[in-house]
Amino acid sequence: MFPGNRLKVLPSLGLGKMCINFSRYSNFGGSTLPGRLAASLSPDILSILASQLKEGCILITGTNGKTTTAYLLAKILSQAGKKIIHNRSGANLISGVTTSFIAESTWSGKINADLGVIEVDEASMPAVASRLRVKAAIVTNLFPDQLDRFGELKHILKIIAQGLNKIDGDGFLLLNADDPLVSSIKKNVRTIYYGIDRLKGASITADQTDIKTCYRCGKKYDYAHIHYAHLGIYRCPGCGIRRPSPQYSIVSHFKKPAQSAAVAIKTPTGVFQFSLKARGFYNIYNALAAISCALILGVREEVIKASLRQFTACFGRMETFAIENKMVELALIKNPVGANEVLRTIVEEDGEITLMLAVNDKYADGTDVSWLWDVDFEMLAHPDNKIKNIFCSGTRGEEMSLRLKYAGIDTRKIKYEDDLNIIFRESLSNTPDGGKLPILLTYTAMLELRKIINKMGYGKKFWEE
Amino acid sequence: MQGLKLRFAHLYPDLMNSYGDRGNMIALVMRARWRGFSVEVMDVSAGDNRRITGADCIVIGGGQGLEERMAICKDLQQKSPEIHYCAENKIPILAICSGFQLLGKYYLTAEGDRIPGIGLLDIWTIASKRRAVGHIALRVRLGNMNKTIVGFENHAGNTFLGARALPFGKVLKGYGNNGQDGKEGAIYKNVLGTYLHGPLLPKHPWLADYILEKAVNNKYPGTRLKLLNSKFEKMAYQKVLKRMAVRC
Ligand SMILES: [Zn+2]
Repeated sequence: MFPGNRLKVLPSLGLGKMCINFSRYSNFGGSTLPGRLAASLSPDILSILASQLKEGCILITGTNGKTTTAYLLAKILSQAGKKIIHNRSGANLISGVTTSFIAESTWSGKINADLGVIEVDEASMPAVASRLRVKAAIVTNLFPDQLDRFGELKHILKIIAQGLNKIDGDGFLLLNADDPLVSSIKKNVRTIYYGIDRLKGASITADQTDIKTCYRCGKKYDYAHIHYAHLGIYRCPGCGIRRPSPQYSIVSHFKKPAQSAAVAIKTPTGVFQFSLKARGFYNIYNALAAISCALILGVREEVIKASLRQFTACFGRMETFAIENKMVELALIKNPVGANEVLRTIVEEDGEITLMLAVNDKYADGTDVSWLWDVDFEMLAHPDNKIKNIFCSGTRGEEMSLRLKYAGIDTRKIKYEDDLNIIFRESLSNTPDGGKLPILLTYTAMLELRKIINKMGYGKKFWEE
Repeated sequence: MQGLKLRFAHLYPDLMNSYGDRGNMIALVMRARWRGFSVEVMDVSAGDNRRITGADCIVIGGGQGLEERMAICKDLQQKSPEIHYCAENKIPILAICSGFQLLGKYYLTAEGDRIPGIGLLDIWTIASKRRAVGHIALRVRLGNMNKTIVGFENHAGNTFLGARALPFGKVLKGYGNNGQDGKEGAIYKNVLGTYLHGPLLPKHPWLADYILEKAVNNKYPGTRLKLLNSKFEKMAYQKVLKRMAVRC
């Protein structure tokens, strides 16, 4: 650490911090602006602040699950007594990461933390990694997601791999063995795999929205088992590449009542059993990634269990609010696989369903909403699922309504309204007392709705989350 | 229209389905069912040798990369005689993006490899460095209809039309086949190839019905399609028009 450098960035740091305070005060959820502003004045502000971390950073990237994985890992490591810096609000571009560091630094530019747990947008990996000391990296999975922004999956893979060059010599890389693209990453660093074994009672299902041909030779993979989408136990009959056998693997998983599950992970030293208060396959993967990483870092099992007990789904992934006497559940949707998982959790519930959907097509959402047609909204039209009303809004709420019509839902049950505030209040008043209102939203619609909920006097502020 | 049956073939639904291309098949199926047809969809993937000549309509989506293209290319050569037979017998065929490219003569990769198509459409495609991504609007004349079509394109290939292919539409906004000649897509008999992804048919119900009517009339001549309420379709369509600031 060079004090001279630190002094040099103080004015822009101050400006960034003032900007953050203003955002908090004005309830303006700007998680990227302060960082962008400060970095425009001092381009090296992030590296100067981050270089003070005693143990460097752990980066988490991939299409789905990076927010929850990072959140869980940060919780576990805090429980283990480490001081953590974590970009909690899902601000995962370089500007957002910079904002998180500015928020955590003192006015004199000091960072009093041991370790950074940083969620990074796939495309931002090289830029973020080059400014941090990377102790470890986790790659969760790669799905087609907002392809109009990123180009093809293999291109994203290349970009991620570029960012991974920065891992310390004594660090490690933690990869999802069940994802053929992710497990194909080869780096000159200790590489550890996690995955889910073939579980008893699980059936093979194949989504049609995803790549299932070999990234190397184009042959169709042979799957001994598919967990969901292209994640599973695969082998290529053409070139012979196969799923690496994971050092950390889930060997059993039982659903329990009240949205929880009993899970067992086989580790190099034994079996680790725990109970998780979140259902849905994606949460199991997230927990597995975070737990494996913590175990590799030497965190004790009791500590991990203690933090898992406190875990409830975090920002954007099925977050719940109590409004009046109703439960409002927010779920971020951004691609078919993630959206299908959320829908599956919703239809698992008993009783009549009132649902709200808000789809925006701003830059941060992805400007192409065609992927809505790859989501299995048809499951809502299944006669077993009693749909009462579906309320649609957002800049592409009309397309959302149209998708529902073609999913076979009675158009009399579909209501479209441009104004998010109005549709939210209407959805609420249509939800029975003591009932639940699931809301599926794209990223910027989520930010808008959070503001509305805050203004109504419910929920935590964006920043305190 | 009770008792009338339609059979659709969906080619490579597992490999060729990006950006909501499934939406087109959904639109055809639902618009037929709402009119009382009983509909069967035959999913035909690579290596599936069931005959497709009994289909009343064929849909091929777009793939995501070269690998899918290679896998499908081989398989498509085997299905080529059947697809030609269908096309010559006026079976409507809808092909999107790389599906569209593969119905042409060839696709020239950036490395200079020539991937053969099945030569149903008199078109050829040359890989380009620049990806054409974004909203697109077309002016389309089909039969006695003259309409504006909106959609989303995402391709890294420039397609050129030979003398035996007509363009599907004239580009109003966006890139189109090659960014130069203002043409988009290609038409031959009832074969329609286009770069417009996914929910092309749901947002343009008249086009879905145009294709559906061809399919129905081959099998049950003289059958008229019942008019359907299209309030939702219009709203979604109008929104994109407004977004693109295109006049109808
Ligand atoms: Zn292979």
